[in-house]
Amino acid sequence: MVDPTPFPRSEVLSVSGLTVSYDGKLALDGAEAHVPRGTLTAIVGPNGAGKSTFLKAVLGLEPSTGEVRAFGRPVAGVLDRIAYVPQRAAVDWSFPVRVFDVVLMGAYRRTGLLGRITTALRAEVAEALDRTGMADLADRQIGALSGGQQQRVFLARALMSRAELFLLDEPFAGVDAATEAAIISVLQGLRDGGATLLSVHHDLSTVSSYFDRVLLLNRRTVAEGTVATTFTRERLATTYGAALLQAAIV
Amino acid sequence: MLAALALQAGYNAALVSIGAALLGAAAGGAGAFLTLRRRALMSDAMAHATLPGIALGFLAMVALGGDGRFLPGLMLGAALTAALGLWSVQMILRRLPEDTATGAVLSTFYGFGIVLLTVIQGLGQGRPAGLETVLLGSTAGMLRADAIVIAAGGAGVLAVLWLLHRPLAMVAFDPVQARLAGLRPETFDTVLMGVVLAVVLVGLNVTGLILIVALLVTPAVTARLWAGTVGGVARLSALIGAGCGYVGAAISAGVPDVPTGPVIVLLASALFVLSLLIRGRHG
Amino acid sequence: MAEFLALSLPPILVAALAALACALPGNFLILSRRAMLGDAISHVVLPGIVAAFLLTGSSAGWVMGAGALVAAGLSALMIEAVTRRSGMEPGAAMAVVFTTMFAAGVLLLEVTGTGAIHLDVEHALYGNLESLIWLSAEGLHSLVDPAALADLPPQLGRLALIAAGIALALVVFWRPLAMTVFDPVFARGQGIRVRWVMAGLTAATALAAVAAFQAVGSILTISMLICPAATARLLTAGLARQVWLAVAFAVTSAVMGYVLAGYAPVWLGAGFTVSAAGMIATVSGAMLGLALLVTSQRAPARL
Repeated sequence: MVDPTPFPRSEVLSVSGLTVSYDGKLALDGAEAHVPRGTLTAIVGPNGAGKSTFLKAVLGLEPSTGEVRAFGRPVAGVLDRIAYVPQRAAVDWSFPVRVFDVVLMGAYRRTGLLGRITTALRAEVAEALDRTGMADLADRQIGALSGGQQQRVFLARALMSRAELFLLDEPFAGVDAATEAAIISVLQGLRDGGATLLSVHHDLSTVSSYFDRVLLLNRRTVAEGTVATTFTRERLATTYGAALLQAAIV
Repeated sequence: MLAALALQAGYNAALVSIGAALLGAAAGGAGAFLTLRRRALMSDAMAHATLPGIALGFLAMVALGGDGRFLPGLMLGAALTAALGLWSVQMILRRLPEDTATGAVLSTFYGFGIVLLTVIQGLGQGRPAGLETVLLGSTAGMLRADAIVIAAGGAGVLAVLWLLHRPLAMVAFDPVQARLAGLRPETFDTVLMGVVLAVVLVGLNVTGLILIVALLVTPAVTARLWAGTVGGVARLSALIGAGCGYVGAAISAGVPDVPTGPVIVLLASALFVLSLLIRGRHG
Repeated sequence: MAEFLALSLPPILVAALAALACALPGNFLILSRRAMLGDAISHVVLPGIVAAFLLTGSSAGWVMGAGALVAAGLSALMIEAVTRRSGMEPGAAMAVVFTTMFAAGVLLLEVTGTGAIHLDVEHALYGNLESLIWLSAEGLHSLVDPAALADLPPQLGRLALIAAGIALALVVFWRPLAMTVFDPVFARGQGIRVRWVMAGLTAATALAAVAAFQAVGSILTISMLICPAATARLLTAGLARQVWLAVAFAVTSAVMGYVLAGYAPVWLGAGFTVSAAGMIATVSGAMLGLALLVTSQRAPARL
């Protein structure tokens, strides 16, 4: 895909001076990020570091100051190229939708108000479900799924948007091992296909095996770069505070 | 009563039955989206907030020299204060929880409406007799013009719901994702409230403002016990609403002293209880 | 003076006591997000009264009150059962239950012709504050004359008793009530029977609603349960202060509302009075609106 605007081709997301405050308390204080195309970045930091807030502020879901550009443009104008997978608790699980319907909602920008649900689109939903290992459950009501399965449905919905930048908020929180394996393989597959992904991540022990980049965040950006150069004991100690780091690793 | 069910009980009874069925369908459809958005009690506040508008509409028309009973004029007043009531709920919501905001607006607007009704009685001008039928509805004197208003309103409501069912469902299910997909949840919430307001206004004639909330909520929650998709819930809810409206109006026409609104509501309630016994969670 | 004592004092006292009885539990209703329970309960009072009359043939105050209390308790249980078994939002469950019972009440009223005997729907909705008069009042001395006092409207004594009972219960159960509405999970951990506390709150609400309803109608009941407490909540963060303020606002709006309904139209040159119950609700709503304006500069409360 050729981007018409002049801008370092490789940098998909650039964030500078991102600041969010609640009632005068700073949740984010000038966070930075420069994310190149085709990478899978873990956002890591202690509780209360503003990781979820960072994603929401990037998307414009939280009032913030600072500059956020995606694909070289303000985010509001390129939301159609971005997908967001929120933490699971957000929706009414008794809502009368089947897995298939939820995933189809991911294609709303294409179907619009009354656009026909074509055979091709149905096939695409089936493929998204297949990639996330949910093909057998397409007709289930979403409330009847396990936590891990619900998370995979939301990932499948994100796939339908054909986005190039994916923002995920703790996709592995409280899921079973099978789901974790399924999700990470989808994420790595997307990266290998040229997409750019950022994911809030809690489990420090899996950062090196799952991700290729890391963004250390504690209200401001402590460090950002490849796992090899950035995910070091000293940097983590700065991010978490030495005592807390012990707790985080154990 | 069987004659009324078969539309053979005279012109007026047939008119009432068809009108009630159309109102039931519109209320059922709108109520499906309203309950999915978890705003059931908003309709209660809105319905009660129509009362001062009806009284003001009457006073305005009397001041202009009419007898105050021109239905569109009363409905315009009702729409204005209902909208003001909704706006007040939104303002209070910034500071207080939703249930408190709803209850405060409901009781204040209604209390003021009653003050205005007693003002109208005191003034003794126009033809105020029976103005309070808007509280509990009255189908006895339904005219062809009223039936046309109900039919047009009901058809309009159903058309808007059909046109916008996808975004309304998305906003109800996951407002954050809807926003990211380019839909403004505020816009569709306003549309939804407008549709519910139309149902409330049309329903003033049939069930009255206290019971119209039942026509919006009960068929919708009944349908939700049976259907697994948004479309299914909306269609079934509209069908239940239409059925209860039609049968209720027929019963009311065939049995003396039986008021229409309460019968329609009780039919819907009976279906709900039955559905809950069959499909509800046990224990 | 005799005229004031005979015609205005009893309704003012009844309105103030009703407002007081409702405002007390109202504080805890709004803090536990159950404000609409007041709405539901006040709507089901009507079928309770009608059913009590049809079953007993008596229109004595306590029979009707008992019927209304049973209906209120029944509706609270039904709302809980429907919420649990259908999994729907509590608001929708409330709407289904109270409209069903209200419709049943209206239907019973019409079909049995009970409407003829002093029970009618409008009465139930607006109340009948203006009819509470004290015919034996002849002057200030009547206030200490036992014979004249015995002739006071019976609603007055009943309401005073109920308001005092609710206030006493509030003082006794203050701590568990405050802890339960603030954090039910923690309260349970402290050995508080949260279910019983909430059931007690529902019972107090029902009692207040029934007592107030007989005097002032269902709409004023909703208004008094919610508006004064909400106004007080905006103006203070302390629970005890909130309750005191709510009581003050409730009594003030009752007195002001009654006076405005009786005299304002006359001052404006009209020869009639307007509904006192409606005016009291209007005044308490206006006080809430004023409090919103006055405090609008503050940061929004985090809810």
